[in-house]
This record gives sequence, C-alpha cells and structure tokens, in this order.
Amino acid sequence: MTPTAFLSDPHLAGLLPGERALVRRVHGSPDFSRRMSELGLVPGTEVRMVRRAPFGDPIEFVVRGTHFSIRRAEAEGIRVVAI
Amino acid sequence: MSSPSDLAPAPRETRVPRAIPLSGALPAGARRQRLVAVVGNPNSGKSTLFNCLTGLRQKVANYPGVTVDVSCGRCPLPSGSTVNLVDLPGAYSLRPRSPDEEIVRDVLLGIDTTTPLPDTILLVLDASSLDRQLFLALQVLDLGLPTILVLNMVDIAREQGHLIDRPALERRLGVPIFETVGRTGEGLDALRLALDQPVPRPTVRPLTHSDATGAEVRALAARIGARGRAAGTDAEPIAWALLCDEGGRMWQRLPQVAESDIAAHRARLEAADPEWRSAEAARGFATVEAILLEVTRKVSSADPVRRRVDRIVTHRIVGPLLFALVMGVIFQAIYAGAQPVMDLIERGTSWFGGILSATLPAGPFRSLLIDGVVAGVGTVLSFLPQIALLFLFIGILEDTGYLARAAFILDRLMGVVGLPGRAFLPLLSSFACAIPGIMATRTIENRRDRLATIFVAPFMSCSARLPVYALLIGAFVPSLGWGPVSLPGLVLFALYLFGIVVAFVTAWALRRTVLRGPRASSVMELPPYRTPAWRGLVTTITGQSLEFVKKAGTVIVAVSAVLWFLASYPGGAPETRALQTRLAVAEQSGDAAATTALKTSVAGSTLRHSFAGQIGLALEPIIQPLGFDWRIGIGLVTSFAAREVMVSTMATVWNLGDASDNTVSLRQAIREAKNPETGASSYVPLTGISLMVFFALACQCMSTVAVVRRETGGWKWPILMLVTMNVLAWLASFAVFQGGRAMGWG
Repeated sequence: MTPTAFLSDPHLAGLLPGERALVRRVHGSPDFSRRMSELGLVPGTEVRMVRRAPFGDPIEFVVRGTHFSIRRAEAEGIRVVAI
Repeated sequence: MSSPSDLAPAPRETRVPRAIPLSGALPAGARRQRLVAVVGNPNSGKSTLFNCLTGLRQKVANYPGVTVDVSCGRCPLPSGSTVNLVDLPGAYSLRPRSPDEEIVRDVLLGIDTTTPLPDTILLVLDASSLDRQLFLALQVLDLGLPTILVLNMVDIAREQGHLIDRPALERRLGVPIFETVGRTGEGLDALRLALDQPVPRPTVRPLTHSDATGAEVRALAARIGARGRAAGTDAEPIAWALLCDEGGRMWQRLPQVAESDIAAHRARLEAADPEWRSAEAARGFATVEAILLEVTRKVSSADPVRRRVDRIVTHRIVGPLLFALVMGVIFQAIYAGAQPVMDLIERGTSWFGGILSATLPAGPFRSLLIDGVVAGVGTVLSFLPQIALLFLFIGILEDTGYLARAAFILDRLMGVVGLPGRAFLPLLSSFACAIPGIMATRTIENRRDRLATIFVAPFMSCSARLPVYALLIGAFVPSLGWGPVSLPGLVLFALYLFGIVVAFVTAWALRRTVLRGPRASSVMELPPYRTPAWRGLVTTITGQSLEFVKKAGTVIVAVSAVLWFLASYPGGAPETRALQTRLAVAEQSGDAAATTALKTSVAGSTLRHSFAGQIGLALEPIIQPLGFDWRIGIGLVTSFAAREVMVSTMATVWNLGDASDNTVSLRQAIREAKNPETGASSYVPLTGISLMVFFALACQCMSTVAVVRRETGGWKWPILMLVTMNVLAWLASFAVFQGGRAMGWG
C-alpha cells in the first residue's frame, strides 16, 4: 500500500451523517488510542456517524450505544472500513 | 456483624490513620465504620443513587455540575447500623486520563493518601449501556475487592428493549447484582439489605492478560510484595496499573518500587508485545461481547426522544439560537424571579431591626446589633434566592443532558480562544462561584487547557458579585421595561457578557503566550435526555444555600461587626463635636432644614474621622480617577474577604449616616448620597458603571486565590492571576470613568 493510499483510508470524520463503518485502527498518541479503545473503539467495532456540530466541528458518533463528541482532527485518526 | 474487612489478614488499625476528604463530613469515629465506594462511568446515575442512599446525611461535594470532589455520606441500613458511602468521581477506566480518574484508581488500589481502601465497592452501571460500561466492571472486578454490582436506570433500559438475564450475569461475573432506578428509589431497599450483609469478594477475574503481559505483571507484582500496600489488596492489579501509568506519578505512592524498575518492565513488555496498551481493551471488550451474548437480548435500541430533541437542539441554526435563548431566559429569570423573595427578606430584616430598636435601650450595643449584625446578615440573606435559582438552573441543565449539547455546540467557538468545549461547564459553574468552577476544571485532562480555564474562571460573574451588581443597578439604573425585557435585566446581562468577553480574550492571550501548545484531545459523552433527578437537585441546592448562609453567618457578620467598630470609633474628633453642638442648637430651635443638614454632616464627619474613613482616605488617591470616593474605598478593602461584603459594608456605612431611620433602603441611600461639603451628589450613574466594571474584573476573593493555589500546586498562578485581574480592573474602570466624563456623561 502506498503512503497516499494509506492517507486516503476512510476515517470517522469522513463519514456522512447516518453512515456506519467498522473500526480498523486508531491512530494518535498512545494516550488517545488507549482511551478510544477503553470507550469500546476496538478493531471490528461498529461505529455510526451521527452529525456535525452546528459550527462544523466536533462530530457526534455512536459506539456500543453511547454517543460521543470528538473533534474532526482526532476523528481523522480513527480509520474505518465501510460496511 | 462481620464486615468484609474482617477477611483482611492485617488489622486496619496498623495502617496510618487517614483523614477522609472534606473532614467534618463524617462523625467522630467514622473511620471504624465500613466504607463503601460508589464507582461508575460518568452519566451512570451514580451520584443520584448516592443521594438516594444518603439523603441529607452527607457533606455535599459542594457543587452542582460534575462531581469534581469526593463527597461522603452515611447510609442507614435495615439493621439500624450505618455505612459510610464515598461518591468517587465518574470514570471510564481505571487507567486515568484526568486527576478525577486518578482519584478513583488510587482509592480502589488503596494507595490514596486521603481516603482509605474501601471495604466494599458499589459498582454502578447504566443498564442500557452495558456493552460499553461493563468494561469498567471488568477492571474493577479484577481488583478482587468485595463488590456489589448495580444495574441502574433499568426502567429506561426496559423501555429501550434491553432484556437482561440478571442471574446469568451474576454467575458470569461472580458478584451479587441488583437492579435499581435511582430517580424513583426502586430497588434501593434490596440494595440496603445487601449492604447490611457481609459482601463476598468476586469469584471470577474476568480480565485476562496475554502471556507476555501476564509475565511482566507477575514479575512487577513480586517486587511490590506485601509490604507497603493496603491489606486486602492484590499486588497484580497494582502492578498492571503501574505499567499502564506511563508518564504518571503513581510510582511515587509505592516506595518499594523505583521508577526505573517499572520502566524496565515496560520496555520488556513493549519489546514482547508492541500492542500491549490496547490489548486490555481489545480483550476486555471481547469478553464483554461474549458475556452479553449469553445474558442479554436487545429488542430495539432506538431512542426516539434523543433523535427528535437532538434534531432541534443541535440544529445548525436553531441550536445556537436556542442556546442563546436558554442563557438569556436563565439570567432574566434569576433577576426577576428572585425579586419578590428578596423584597420579603429585606422587609423581614427591617421589621426585625425595628423590634430590636423598640425593645433594646439605645447605646453602642443596640447600634452594633442593628446596624452591624442584623443589617449585614439581612442584606446577604436577601440574595439567597438568586443563588438558589442559579444552582437550580445549572443542575437542571446538567441532569437533562443539555449541558453536554451546549458544550458540543460551543466546542468550535471555545476552540477559537484555545479552550476545550469541556471548559464550558467549569466556566458556567463559575457563574455560581469560581471555587466550584475551578475545582470542576479537574475534568480537563490537559494541563495547559486546565490552567487557562482556571485563570479565566474568576472573570465569570460569580454569585457574590450579584449582590453588588443588584445594589448598583437598583441605585443607578432606571427600571424601564419593554414587555418581558427590563433595562436592569439588560444591564445585568451586559455585565455577565462583559466578564465572558474578557475571560475569552484573556484565555486567547494566555494560549498564545505562557500557555502555548496544541489543544488536547477531549472526547465527551453526549448522554441521553433524562428528566432531572429532583431529589438530588434539591439536596445539592439546599447544601449550597446552607453553605452560603453559613458563610453569611460567620465571615460576613464578623466583617460587619468589625466594620461597625471601624466606622464608629474612635469618634470625638473636634470637627464632629463642633457639628454636634450646632446640631443640638438647631434641634432646640426647631429648624427642621438645618437639623437634617447637620445630621448628615455629623454622620459624614464621624465616618471621615473613624478608622475606616482613614483607610478609605488613604486609598482615595488611587481610586479617585475611577470615580470612587473614600467610602467605596472602604468597601473595596472589606470586599477582599468576599465580594458580597461590599454590600454590607455600604449598608453599615450608610445606616450609620442615617441611624434614626432604618427603613430607608440602601439603594436610596446611595442614590441620594450627598457630599457633606458641597451638597452635590456623591455618586453619579457613571460612578456606578465604573464600579460595576471594576467588580466584574477585579480579583477580590481570598477564597479564589486559595483554591487556585491548591489546584495549581503553587503560588505562581494565583499571584499572576491576582495581579493581572486587578490591573485589568483598574484600567477598565479608568477607561470607563474618564472616557465617560470626556464624552460629557455624569
């Protein structure tokens, strides 16, 4: 896989409101990826993008029935596979 | 009755005695009672359950908004005995990412310096969110402490179609499980019964490690050994927590292991399994999924209320407008809604003063009682309705889930000045009082974000400023009104807005200078919409209001009495005596006009020559450019004890000026104040505005300085804050007063 292809991997922030996907990997600081996994974002988990905030950032998503808000910059680190 | 601590090999008495946080919350000898720690995710209904179990037998962790401090309470049991409950902050994981979560980990591992290892853990989970919250349960069960699991809010879970086979879940997790509804009290009797019995240790350790991780955990656990850790704790969970605590300071709590040892184990682990950090969650959630497959059945998970409400509340255009409207309504309601009660209290105070005046013989004692004590307490009491209302609104916003949506909407805007959306709640709490607000910043993980929020929190107009604003608005702002909108309400709103703007500009400046750095990640839960837990809300508001009254009853009264002394003594200055002689002559000759004028002169002269007057006069050169006279100078000095003291100071000062007629309200006294020499008005509306601006910005609260010192761990930040705020206040007032005069106002 070329670096370009890697960068263009779909990520959580790129999903449209209502779209579902499976978590593939969480990029970011060790702290961030650990916390994401503790919230249930482990590989293979289904996530659903819900909406963008009124001013475009952050975004709301659902994982395991719980809604979270996360900034776009961080959501870009959550790489997903479309269902 | 045998308590679970009987199972511990070493008697607890051998441990260093520790104070429970918020000392005074628990009765003497409380430490001998069983301690139950309430643990759970944020938004699991944990604090509501705690409130139900303890009722008013608790020391409120002071503040509405998130549980930022540890609150303790006593829970009566069916057998007639009681247990002590400690409501730990909400946590998503025992691998902390904030000081709040650190407290939870440290208490549960028995390494906290203020709270001893609990005898029992009351683990609260939101029954409708088990697929996520059970992960924390696995971490907690791994500690091996006696644990009771509570599936809370089962009513909502049932409505959403979650069917949970409780006995099967009990077998899988090896702990007793109870179903409750904290809001209604359903299931609490059974829970109290269970707390009355010895609680078993869990029979299952559902958290598993990979071989490589397990080996390092056991090796580090062997180093920790039995010495130095609390009796009844297991070394392996401590070792695992140490390995996970990268960059943390947990190792300092365990003298038997060196930081370098932990680093060595961590390096070996890293080499053996580079993915070890996420392995706990990956394995944990796999376990959770396997368990839930066995014990639950979900019919439907749609939350139609959330969908419908969120569509409006977080709408691109409607959302922000609604937010502005909500805030506007709150402040209008605080101002208008509290007025009738305030008037009632004001009238009650002067009625009581009248009774004292009629029954007690005239003299310094009566003067002290009426003009010092009763007037001081009454003035401050009359602002209680506003404070209670504000706490009520913050509580409702938080309970309903709107607060999280507000943070969601505002995160982008807050980001402009470099603050996280999460800073919204501490800042909103600071409208009640900067102290809970500053403590609520503990939920902000990043230190720079947190320091910036702490620094600007005191700019939010706290409830102690309200009395001052209300007094000055009442005295100087005409009560014009257009329908539901009133000019005084608008001015109050503008003052709040002013504080917010200055706070944001300051935050922006801080994040570009001393606190430069990227914004930290902040993932925030958007909880489901719920009806407020009114009982808990009432408990919190009552506790808050009582705290304010207590403060009013001690500090304020003491300051009022001291002020009365400062303003009344030493007396007997030659000028005053001369005026008194002329007054006596005028009274005898029946010259009413001269009598009134001379009375004012005598009062002014007494005050000018009193101790307080001397302090005020010394300050006058500094504050005169702001339009303040020496009387305001006295108030500025005393308000360092607490801002609201300004009001009682002015009351004392002005009541002394007209002691024969207590019914003249303070507002009127200020409005009608005349310079004893020139006869011109002492204060013009511009003075009032300048003074309000000064109060909006100045750091005049010893308590705030103290709490900032505590939260930042040094004097650097509080001193920087004190200097910055007061210099800003002086400059802003100077600009307002001199600018206003140049434009011909006042």
